[in-house]
Amino acid sequence: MSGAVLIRGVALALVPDANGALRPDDSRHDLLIEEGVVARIAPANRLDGDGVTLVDGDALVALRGFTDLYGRLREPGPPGRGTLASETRAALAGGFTRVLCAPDTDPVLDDTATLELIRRRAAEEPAARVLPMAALTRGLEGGELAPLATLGKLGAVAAGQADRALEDASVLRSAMQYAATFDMPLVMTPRDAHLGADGCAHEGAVATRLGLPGIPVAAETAALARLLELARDSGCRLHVSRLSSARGVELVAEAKRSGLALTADVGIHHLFFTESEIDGFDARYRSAVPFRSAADREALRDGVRSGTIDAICSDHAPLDGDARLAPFPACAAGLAAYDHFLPLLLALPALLDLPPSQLLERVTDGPSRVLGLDTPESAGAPVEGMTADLILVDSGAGARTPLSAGRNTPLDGVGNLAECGLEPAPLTGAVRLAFVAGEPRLDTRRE
Amino acid sequence: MIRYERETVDAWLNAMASSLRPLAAADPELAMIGIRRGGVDVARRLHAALSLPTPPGELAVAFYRDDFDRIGLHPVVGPSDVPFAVDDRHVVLVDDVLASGRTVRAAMNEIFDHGRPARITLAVLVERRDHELPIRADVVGHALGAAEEEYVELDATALVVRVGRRDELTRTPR
Amino acid sequence: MSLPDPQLGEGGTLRHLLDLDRLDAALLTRILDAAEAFTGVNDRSIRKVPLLRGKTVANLFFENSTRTRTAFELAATRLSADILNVDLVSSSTAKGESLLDTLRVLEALQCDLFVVRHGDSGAAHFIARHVGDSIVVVNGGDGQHSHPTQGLLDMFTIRRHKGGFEGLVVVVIGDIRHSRVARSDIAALVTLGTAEVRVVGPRTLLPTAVEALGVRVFDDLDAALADADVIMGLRLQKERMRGATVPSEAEFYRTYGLSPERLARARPDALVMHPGPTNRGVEIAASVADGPHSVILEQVTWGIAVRMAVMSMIIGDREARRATAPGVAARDIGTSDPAGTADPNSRGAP
Repeated sequence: MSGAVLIRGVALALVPDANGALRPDDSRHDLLIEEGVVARIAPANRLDGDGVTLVDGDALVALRGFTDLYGRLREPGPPGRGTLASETRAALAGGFTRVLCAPDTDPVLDDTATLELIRRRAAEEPAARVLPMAALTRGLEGGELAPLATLGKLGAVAAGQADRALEDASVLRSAMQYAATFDMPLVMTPRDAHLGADGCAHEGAVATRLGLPGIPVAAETAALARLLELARDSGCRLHVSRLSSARGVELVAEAKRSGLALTADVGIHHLFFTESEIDGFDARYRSAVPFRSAADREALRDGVRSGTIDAICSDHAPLDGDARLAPFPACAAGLAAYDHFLPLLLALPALLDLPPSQLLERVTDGPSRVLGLDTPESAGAPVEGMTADLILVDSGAGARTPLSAGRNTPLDGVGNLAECGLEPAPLTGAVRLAFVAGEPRLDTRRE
Repeated sequence: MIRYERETVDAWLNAMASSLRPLAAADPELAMIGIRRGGVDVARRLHAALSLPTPPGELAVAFYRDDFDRIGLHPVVGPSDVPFAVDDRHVVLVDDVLASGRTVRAAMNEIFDHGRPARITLAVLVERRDHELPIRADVVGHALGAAEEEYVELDATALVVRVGRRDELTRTPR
Repeated sequence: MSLPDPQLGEGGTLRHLLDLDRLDAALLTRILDAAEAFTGVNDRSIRKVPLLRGKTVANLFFENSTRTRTAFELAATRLSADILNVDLVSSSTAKGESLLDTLRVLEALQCDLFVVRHGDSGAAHFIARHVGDSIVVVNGGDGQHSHPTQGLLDMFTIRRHKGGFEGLVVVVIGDIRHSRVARSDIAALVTLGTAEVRVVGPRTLLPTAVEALGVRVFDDLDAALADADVIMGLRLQKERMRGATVPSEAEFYRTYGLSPERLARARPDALVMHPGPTNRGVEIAASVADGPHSVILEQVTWGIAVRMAVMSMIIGDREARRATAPGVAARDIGTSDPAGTADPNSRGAP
């Protein structure tokens, strides 16, 4: 397909059915993509299909492509854990047409050469758009500043420290002031440099029983309090990345109420899993940001519902097959998220008692606002004139062929969350077509 | 099913005691060991009848059975108890029923791990003609030509011996 | 979702011994009863039984421990098994060969039982999940998680002196946070119906949410020792000073050391236990460790019988599983005779 595309008879919104599962709503539309933008949206069968490629939108929903505020795309880096090509394709399957890619590549994304490499490689087999996140400090070591202004000019849209703590408060403050000078938002995961540094699980009842070194909530909240104070002091745009605790959500809410310009996100898995999942030393649930207690999960869900948490990210961390072939504390941490992101997302409106449009806001408008990107606020619905970054979703679809190089997910082959010991919720939904700038970059219709 | 009542079984025990009395008279150090569980009751009665000065011993034999590779560790109740030195001793080994001979083999192996007896005399209340090993009793209360599918069971409290099919017998509570 | 527990086989048999958390009271009691039977072996001239003759026990020690390794070795020897000691502390695994690769090599040597001691919590579970069906795993201590044979021998010692667990007050003192022995003891004590399990120590040495293990927390040693029936001390390691959890051994002894004066607050017939090696003058006074309440040396002795029981039960259960596997004739299985009334070895015995 190239040139203009007309999607015929497609829905533009999802609604819950009698069982709470999502389905396309009843109105049908024609949507014309031309020159990379959504040129027209009209009631179904109104638009002329001559000379354009026709796509049958029956049983599908057209949505704005999602923006991921944290995905590890693994390139440059050692082979076996994914490439820009494989992971950006997998991102499309997750519904993301834009990914803010983590800076803890190898080498770290702290210089122009690495940034250029990423841009070039991303352009070779384009799938989801790659928005580079620069390392805040050289090598992520927390010592010297990375050249944020230069990297920003070359396309970096944010800076951060990936999963690493930044120990020295004076360096942190200085980095914040510097980033503020060039209006670059900081994406920071609150984590203390020492507290819980050798931990591998949430410090709570399960880790206590299993004798696993824990990462206490205080490791997140003490670091978060410090981030908030220094953000206030420096005036930088702070985005708190991948919250995991109730107290963390509380601190963010308080800071917002006090007038601090602040945003926050949560990884999608943290809205489902708790510390119970690691029982029996199940390393499939070993995550860099640990899954905490049921009360923490409730607070994270409340945060998404209320908007205290502005966005849901993937926290995608593909690992190779060997990564879990060791005792729990020696295993690599992280879950591959893209291949199951969409079904998990579609299960959330029922679990959170949240209208689908508000939920979609958390993966579209929310992330765009965080990055200061110019996109129309439409709660996930396509609007005329917007760039044609679109996904066509089949909300009832069953399992799809996975695309990420990482199979480190407990959800492969799972049709209902009850199979994982969670509250029952069917996992359905697949992206059938994904467009980036009007160009079809993923087509799973024949599966 | 055939039942041998108390009077009959008593008579068998008396006969056994009579056979053993000359041995006890000749050797004051004569010791008696019963094989759990049935053999322990028989040994106790014989020991009392003979008034042996050396206290009686008990063997669990669980650790010497030849069926570990088939059924695993047999449930054991307490350790064996041999309260006398076995070296150079004349030991009377007592059991309630001698059938295949495997239990007696296991018991003898265990005795030899306690020391080197001078002599072992085997005394059983009932001997079936069902030997799988070349082991025969020296002192027998009653010789039985029981059919292959029949089992022999001693009710130690009532002092009754039953011979019958497996489903005919009840397990005596111990 | 939890992975299935690899420890238990069909019919409540023990497939591996990894921890005491999910073993029910009946199974724990079965092990203690078997251990009781094995105590007699040590009193004879030939301290051996032929149960594991022809079987090979491999000691896989990724962490140094002469004490535990010797105990397992002795237990295996008394069962007539062959022993293979594999030194993994300085071997290729330390040089980077993966744990799994090491396991594959050892499996090729056709051992029957692995005793595993490793510095990572969950190591024994990992190994149990990745060995072939014919190998059984006994956890000799994994990180801070579990030391099940120590827990069992501690329970055996308590049962020997106190008859049972009902109505007992048991106090565990010291570094519970880093202690796999404490976790195993607490799990077993709770399962066996101990009236009250108390933990006492500075909060830096008590794990988060420790109450969830079923214990009552005390800050003050005197209060904790009131009416205690059993006192279990734990070793305080030197790293704790460096890790800023305890200021000095002297202060620890002053606040949580089991001195004769403190001991006097417990019941007159209280037992003093310790997994060893003891730090005299730190967690326990020398006079208490050597005194009439102490059963510390006895624990070591019972450790042999307990390990004999565990190894023979686990291998025995494996043999029984194999024998009843489809395709194998099951005619002579005498499992229906727990009272042992009939001749257990005769053909077709009930």
